[in-house]
Amino acid sequence: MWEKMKAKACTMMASVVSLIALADIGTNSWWAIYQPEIPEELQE
Amino acid sequence: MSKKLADSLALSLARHSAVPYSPAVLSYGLQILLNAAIKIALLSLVGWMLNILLELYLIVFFFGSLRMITGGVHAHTFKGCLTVSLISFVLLTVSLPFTFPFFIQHTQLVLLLMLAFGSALTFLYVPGKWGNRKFTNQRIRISKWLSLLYLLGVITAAWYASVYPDEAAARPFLRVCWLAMLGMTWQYILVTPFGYKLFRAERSNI
Repeated sequence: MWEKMKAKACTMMASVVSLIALADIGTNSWWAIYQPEIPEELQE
Repeated sequence: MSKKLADSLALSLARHSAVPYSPAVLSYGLQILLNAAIKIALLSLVGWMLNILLELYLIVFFFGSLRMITGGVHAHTFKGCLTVSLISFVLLTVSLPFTFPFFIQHTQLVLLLMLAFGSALTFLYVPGKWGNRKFTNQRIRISKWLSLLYLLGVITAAWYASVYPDEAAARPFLRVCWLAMLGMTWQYILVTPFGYKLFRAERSNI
């Protein structure tokens, strides 16, 4: 039960974080003047 | 420091997630979140201490939303980004009591100059390049037109407020328009070669 809940929470958090990463790349880090090194997966 | 923390959090998230996610992508997203949280907290603290919080938020909003369209230079380190952002936004905001009366006195002239300045920089430098990212012709065209529309929107709003019969009612709106123009001017500068040069200097000094 606990493991299932943990996996669900982690999946949800990971999907939000990866959405943020994609949105950031897509909008040229709109809010930031500093952009971390872009991972190869997102270079395209 | 934020990279190390983001890397370890990303690894743990990727390991426990039911769907496979790339730890590098997660780390990137987490770095954005951590950096943004630190920056928002510091900006809010400084804004609250100097009693300019609302103005500071407005400048950052107009700067950021135009930046989303125009792109532009990035700092080489988070420390550099934080320092440049804090100094520039705070200086722009504290200049308001001195620059706003000038804007009120010469509204039409300032709007005309802003239109010329913004349009010229848009056609010359938008979208600002960064790293090895390449833009398609369509992307360049869209950026230029959106940037121009954004500029025209703010200038039209300011012009309308300046000719509005009830001067007292229009004053707060004009103040917001002036804040918008300050933020936009700073962002326009950051797509010019001068902006890129400034951040090269940041790399060697901060």
